[in-house]
Amino acid sequence: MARKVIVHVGAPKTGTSFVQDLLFGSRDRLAELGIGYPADRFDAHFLAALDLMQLTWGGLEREAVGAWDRLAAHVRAWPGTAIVSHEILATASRVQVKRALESLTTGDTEIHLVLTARDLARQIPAEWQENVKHRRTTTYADFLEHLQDPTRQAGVSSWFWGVQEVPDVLDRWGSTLPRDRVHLVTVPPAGAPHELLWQRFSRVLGLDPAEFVLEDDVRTNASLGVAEAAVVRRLNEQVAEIVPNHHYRALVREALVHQSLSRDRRSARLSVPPEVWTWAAELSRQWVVELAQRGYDVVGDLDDLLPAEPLPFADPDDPDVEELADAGVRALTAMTIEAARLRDREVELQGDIADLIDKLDAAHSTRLYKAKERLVARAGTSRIAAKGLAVYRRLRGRNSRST
Amino acid sequence: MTAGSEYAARVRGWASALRAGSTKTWAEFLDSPGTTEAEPASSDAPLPGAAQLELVRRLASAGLPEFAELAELVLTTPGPGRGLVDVPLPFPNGGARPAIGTPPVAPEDLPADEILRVCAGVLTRLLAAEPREPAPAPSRPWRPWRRGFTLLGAPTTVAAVRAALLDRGLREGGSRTTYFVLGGPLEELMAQRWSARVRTGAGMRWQRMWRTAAANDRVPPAIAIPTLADHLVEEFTPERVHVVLAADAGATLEIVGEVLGLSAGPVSDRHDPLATDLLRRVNQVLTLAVGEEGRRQVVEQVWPQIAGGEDSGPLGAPESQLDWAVTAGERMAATLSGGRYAVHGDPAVVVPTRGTGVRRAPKPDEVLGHALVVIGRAWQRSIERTS
Repeated sequence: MARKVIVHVGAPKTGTSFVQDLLFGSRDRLAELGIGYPADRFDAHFLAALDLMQLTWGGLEREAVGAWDRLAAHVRAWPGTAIVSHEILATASRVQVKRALESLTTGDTEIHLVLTARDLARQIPAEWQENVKHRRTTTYADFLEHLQDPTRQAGVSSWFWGVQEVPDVLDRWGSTLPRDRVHLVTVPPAGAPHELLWQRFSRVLGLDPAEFVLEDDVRTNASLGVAEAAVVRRLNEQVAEIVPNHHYRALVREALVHQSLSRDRRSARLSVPPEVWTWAAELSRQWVVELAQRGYDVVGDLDDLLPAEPLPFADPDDPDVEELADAGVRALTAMTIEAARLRDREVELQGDIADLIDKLDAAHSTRLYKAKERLVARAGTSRIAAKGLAVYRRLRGRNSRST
Repeated sequence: MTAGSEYAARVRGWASALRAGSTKTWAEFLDSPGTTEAEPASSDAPLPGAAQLELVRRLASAGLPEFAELAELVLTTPGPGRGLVDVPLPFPNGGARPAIGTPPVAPEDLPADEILRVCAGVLTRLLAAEPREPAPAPSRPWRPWRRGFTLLGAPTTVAAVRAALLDRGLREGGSRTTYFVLGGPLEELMAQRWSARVRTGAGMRWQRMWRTAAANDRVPPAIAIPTLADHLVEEFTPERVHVVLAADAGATLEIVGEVLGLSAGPVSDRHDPLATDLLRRVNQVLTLAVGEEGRRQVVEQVWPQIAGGEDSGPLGAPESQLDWAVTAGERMAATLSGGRYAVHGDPAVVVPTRGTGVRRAPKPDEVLGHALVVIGRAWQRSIERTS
């Protein structure tokens, strides 16, 4: 029987983190079933995708050197079905796709391509929110204008369409594959049971979804509300040029957004203004017609990609002042608690340092060490001592760590 | 033949013509007699994008050897990082992709940044193939009788002055060293710091460096001349610390020479904003290709040979940070005037002048022009290495 490689390429904001966490957490059970999800860390496939597409990501790319080739080697060596999954793969160019698919293939490999997709009217605010969580300061109005720019050269427009234009992503990744090996998994409409996406996705994998327990702590990118997103965007305006990436990730994205504001959303859900909804709905209809003609394996319903009736629009560029103030106070509270936690940690570390200094002092209190110290001190003022020290150091060699 | 296959055949036809050295634009190619017959698709390789094709066309006039091979390398190099995905060419009747995917763009109208993405990919492939060896440790003969010097401050000037002093047999460091903190116009200090940071692997833009400095209201510590001098005075004695403020490297060396009691030969200034802007684009891609240590070796050993010699002049502070630059420069000048160390030169030289006609950021079109030269040199090296 041919080996199968399932390549899940996105799209972002379609529950991919949830699926990847579940796969990563179930590696042993999957292996028992003959399915390989080769990853030694939860973001292994993300690093591989950065490497494949030569993408920078706030310095994380330094950890990605050679990551794609390593992943591909694991996949080729796996005797059964292997899975590769990351949502940023959606934006790969045709040359990168060719390299990726060739590297995953041995003689009898059957490549299956999977794209999970959700309707545009939900994807647009979700992508803006993701931008806000990545220290961008673009207003929602500018973001929407950029997306509608036909040249796709403004702001993050090229990235958005690179990962979200469903027919184009499937064409870039799937044009060399038989149509029945290209699987379009649609994300159920809002309000559908949480498990439905996993049920659809597991059908492509040929798994019984009931065999895999959905843990409560799997990563789900919970949403910010209008006021919470407005607070974070305005915070970005103040800190984006001052706070380095690694601190921003720990303090703003993790402590403030993931641990606090998105767990306690009190303001309206982000949506699109009516005129953008109309434009997105028309575009989605064109996509659905195109996709229906292509004959892919659709898991779910193509109509899931048509936007549901528009939600009432609350503008994050002009949020309700009381809601904004409330979200601001909650943000301040979260950051104060985080600062206190870090202060506690600092005090703890200072205690550790004091212990180490005591040990160092004890080691430096020997006669020989003190004699060496005196020589080094005198070398600063005495030529003879300096010459003596230089002779000593030349005899000792450059690599010694002693005085 | 469908519109899609006709489009593909024409694109492959143009790619063939470009490989053979043609400099015709896409529109000129389509209008040329003899190209009306579409060439059959001969490859299952993806069609090259507009940026790759345009880069080949621009390289064609440089008269490079084995050009067809270089063209093939360019046409098969994806644009790394973020940007337009697989830009198609405009084609009568819309070609294969009327409404879906990146909209078509006439290659010569592409933004320079898009072509520079491909340049970064091409340079990475060429540089990754360079042999890499650890740089030999600098020889530091033991000459305790020679006068010692230690240089801090403006990185490019420090490198030029250090080389000149070592050439004259002076000793770097040592117990009786004289400390020189080399300064100059703040904008030049920032340009040299930017260049140094990019050489060590940073990918930051010139404008970003200024925005960060202004937002923090702080000149980067490595070029904060008064702070460096203060630290030295605290650590040693004020008599051994000299701050040198001059407009260029030659004047700086002259002053250092006077203090050390030797005659100084000429050193030339090096302005490299175009090479620096190009390197910041190449850096991260190169790191992904060869690792950080490999990148460092290539940048130290090969980059100066292929990227030097631009005729670009100095960079000024971006317009939106100019007010802060003037304030920071005035503050630095005032602090230097009241320091406990010898100051050689006029502290006012530090303050930006708000001059007109100053280049306030590297222009992508100019960086692209330099990138074509750098790719040509890297390709020449590659040919010489393999022949």
